[in-house]
This record gives sequence, C-alpha cells and structure tokens, in this order.
Amino acid sequence: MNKNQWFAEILRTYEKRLLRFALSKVPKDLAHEIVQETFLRLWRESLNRIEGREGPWLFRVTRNLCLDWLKGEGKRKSSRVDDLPLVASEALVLNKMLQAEEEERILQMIGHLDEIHQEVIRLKFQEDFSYKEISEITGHSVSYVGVLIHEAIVSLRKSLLPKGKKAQGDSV
Amino acid sequence: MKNYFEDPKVTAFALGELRGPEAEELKRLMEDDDEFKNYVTQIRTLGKSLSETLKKEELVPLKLSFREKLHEVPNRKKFFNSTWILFSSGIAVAGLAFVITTQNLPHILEHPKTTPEFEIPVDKIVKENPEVPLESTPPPKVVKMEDKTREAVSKSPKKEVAEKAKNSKAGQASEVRPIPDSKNKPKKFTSSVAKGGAVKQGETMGANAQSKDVTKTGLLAAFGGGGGMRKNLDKAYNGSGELLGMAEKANGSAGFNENRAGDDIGGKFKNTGAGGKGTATQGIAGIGTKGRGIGDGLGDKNSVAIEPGGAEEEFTGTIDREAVRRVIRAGLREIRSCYEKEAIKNIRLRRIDGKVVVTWTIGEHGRSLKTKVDSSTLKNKSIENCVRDRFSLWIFPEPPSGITVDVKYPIYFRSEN
Repeated sequence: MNKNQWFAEILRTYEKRLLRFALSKVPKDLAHEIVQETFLRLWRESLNRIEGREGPWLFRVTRNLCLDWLKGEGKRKSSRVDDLPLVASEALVLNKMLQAEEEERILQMIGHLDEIHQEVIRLKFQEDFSYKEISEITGHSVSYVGVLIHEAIVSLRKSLLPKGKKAQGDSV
Repeated sequence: MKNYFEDPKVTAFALGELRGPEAEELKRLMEDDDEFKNYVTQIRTLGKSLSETLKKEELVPLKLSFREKLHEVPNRKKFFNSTWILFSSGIAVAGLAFVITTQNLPHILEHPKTTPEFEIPVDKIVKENPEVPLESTPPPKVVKMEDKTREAVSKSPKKEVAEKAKNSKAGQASEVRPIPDSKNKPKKFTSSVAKGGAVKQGETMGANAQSKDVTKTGLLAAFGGGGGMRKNLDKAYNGSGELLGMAEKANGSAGFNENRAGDDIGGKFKNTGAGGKGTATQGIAGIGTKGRGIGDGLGDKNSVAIEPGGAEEEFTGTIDREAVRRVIRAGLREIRSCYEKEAIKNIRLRRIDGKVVVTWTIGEHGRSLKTKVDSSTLKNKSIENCVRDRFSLWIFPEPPSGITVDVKYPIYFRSEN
C-alpha cells in the first residue's frame, strides 16, 4: 500500500470518528477545521513512524488541537486538564432529541461527568481504544487511565442504578 | 475481598484490560464470590450500554470543502514528486550533453541514423571478406582521414567490393548502405568515400550541434535555456519571499497560538514571513477555499487581476454577446478561485501571469458544450483545466432555436504582487 492509498484509507476510516470526538470538545466550525488540520499533519508524518497506530495518533493530535484552542479561548484556567469546566457536548444536545429514554439518560449522566472522565469514557466505549492507547492519546499514564475509567464507571453505575441498590461500594 | 468496588483493577478486569496472574486471581474470585460476580457483570453490562449509546451518536462527515482539500493533498505531493523527476531528468540531460561534449561525439546525436549505415556493413565486410584490402577499410568513427588512406580508398575497386558484399551475408547490410555513385550520393555530411564507412563531420558542425542540443533539450529548454533556470528559480524564490513578507502583516481571526511558527504552507522558504498572527488557524483556513485567514504566507486573495474578454473575443453565430459577457463576469469569482487554489497549493507558482483562451459552443438551453482551452500562456494545467471546467458549468443565454454559437474568449491573469 503506497502512501496515497494509506492516506485515503485512513481518511475514510477516521474522518467521522475524529469529528465526533472533536465535536465533544469544541464548537462545530472549529471541529471541522481541527480535523482537517489533523489529517494534514498526518500527511506530513512519515508513514513508517505511525503506521499501525494511526488511531491513537490522530486522536492525540485532534485532542491537542482542541486543547490549544481551549487555552486560547481562556476556557482553561490552569494547565491541568482536570480543571476543565463541564462542557455539554453538542452531540449530547443532539441526542436529547432521541426518544430512547435510557440512552438519553446515559448520555446525560456522561454529560455530568468531569471532562477528563468524559474523555476517557468516550475513548474507551465510543472508540474502543484500550487503556494503553488512551494513555498514548491523552498523555496520562496507563494506571491513571485505569483510575479515571474506574471513577467514571463507579459514578455512572451509582447514577444509573435504582436507588435501592446504591448501597454497595460507591466512592465517586 | 470486599473492597473491590474501590479497586480500579476490578474495573479493568471487568472491561478485559487486566492480564496475568491478577486476572487469574479475579477469575477464581468470580467463581467463589457471587457478589463479586454480580458486580463484574454489572460493570460489563454498563460498559456495553455505554458503548451502544455512545456509538449511536451522530457521525457527521467533514464539510465538503474540507474533504475536497484533503483529497487533493496526495496530488499535491505527486506534483512535487513529478517536479523532482523533471528536475532530475533535466540534470541528467545536461550531464549527458556534457559527457558527449567532452567525448567529442557530437555526430552521434546530430546524425544518429547515418552512423550505423556505415559502421555495420564495413565491419561485416572486413570480417567476412578477408581479401578486401585493409587499407580500403578505414577504422570506424575516424573523423579525419589520412591522405594515404584516402588515396588507397579512392583506388580500391568499388564495384567489386560492393558485389562481394552483396553476395555475402553482409550484402544485406550493403543494401542498407547504398553504394555511392553519381545517382545515389551520400549526404554532404558523410564521407564521400564509398566503403569507408566513417562519418565525416566538420568540427564546426559538431560544435554547432552541441550548442543547439544542450540549450534546447529537457529542463534547460523548459526554463528558457542558458541561465534561464537559475534566473527563473531565483525569480520564483524572490516572489515567495515577497508574499511571505506580506504575510507578516496579515492578521488572522482565530489563531491557536500566536507565537507558533508557520505550519506547512508558507513560511518555510525563508525565515521571514513565518509566524504571522494566528498561524495555525490561518493555515487551516487558508487551505479552505473560503480563505478565512490570509496570514502565514498564504497571500492576499486579491493578488491577481483577472480581465475577461478583449480583442480576441470571437462569436460565431447569433447571440446576445453582452449577455454572454455578463455570465462570464459573474463567474469571475470562480475563475479567481481557480488561481487562488493553485497559488495556495504551491507558493512557488504564486506569480502567475498569462492568458487562457477558452473555446466552447453554446447549445440548447444555453448549455456549454465542447469546452476546451484553445491556447494558454499560463503554463499551469491545473488553472487551465479549472477555468475550462468552470466555463463548462455555466449557463449562457440560449441561442435562437436550432442554432449553436461558437465562442472564443480570453481571460487574462495578471499578478499584482
């Protein structure tokens, strides 16, 4: 597979997924620009260097570009990612229109998580990345990714379980 | 183990992220502890629900303009590749010319067809007809002939040798090389010696051949011969610099990082010009056709003047010519985008001046038929094809029923930088 074919294949595979990921972080117009920029950077990268792990690479670049923008907009008060304020995603708003109550409820619960937890939950359950890949994308250690996902899961479980069953081991 | 609700390892195990002895231990625990088993099952169910729900979120494709640009990216790379191939082949041609010059073999290039005619038969005649006196067969490729040899050759029995050659295998070759006689004289640049076989070429002729070949061959010729290549490359380089200089003054609307150096397009030919404000976002926007940002060396959108029409306009048939002109004028923005798109793709081609003459036929419903570029001085196929495509899409005033109108129309591009 030459570079052109490779690039076309990657574009086809990740275009929409990256845009969905970017839309969960930044406004629509900017998300499009960021995804385009991500692919331009991909083209400039050496094929050998990232072949086989394009997914984590693309998501990392998209994430960093989103964070750059958030920094510029003053939406981040400090350099710590976990200080990010809760930003309800556009996709979440869109999904409110869906009639499936449970799905909406799950999305609402995700929307109430901190952004740092939302991010790892999306990467894990929406994009099917492993802990290691999420670590590569976010820059967190693998064990910290595990902690974040655990915290998010415990919190979601607590919110979603019927009230009578909340007694066991809820820490977040 | 009752504190597993607080252990991230348990969540990792439930989600299939735990390996090794720890995972084995938790597997055994699942078999022994129903409460733990229920917890793991809950986590897995929750994970499945999360996955299903999140994957249902709308997947939106990129905006069309962005997609188009991204699909053009590999072609841009191809262009650079082909440029390098052209450049390399130009160098190779120049090198070959140099070698030929130093080897004093200009006649090979000048009259390639004549050489074999003389070499092949002579060699064969010598090999297969030992009785042919050696003196009569001058060595191949000898440019000057000694007087002695010339004399010997002139005394040799021409017809006899020719007949022998004809009867032998080499005779076939002798048919290739006509025996010189009064009716079938060799060309003036060849030796007048019948079976000499050597091509006699004047030194001046050879020298002339060299000078013609080198300057009019390959990339050197493409760049205008002589010092043209260097001159034009310098010009292109300087042009980039000027545009980059402009970029320094440009301001963007939404840069990611004000201090970031120019990225990819622009800013890397020279140090000056890099680092316009809001470079990253401008880089993105600049690639889009809307041109939201003009920083980062992407240039001013108004850097080209486009003038349609003029003395070269030709209309064959009955049609409201002014209405046709109005359609073209209305589409100038699209023509401009053809130019800008190319200029953005390749900063070295930013200064493009010239004329594209488009011909087409206005048919039923004002549709454009048989649209083509009649002539062009732009020397840029992308722009020419883009202009042609735009013309082919426009709807012109409809000619009278049953009549088609042929139009020839020039568009002038003049760089204002």
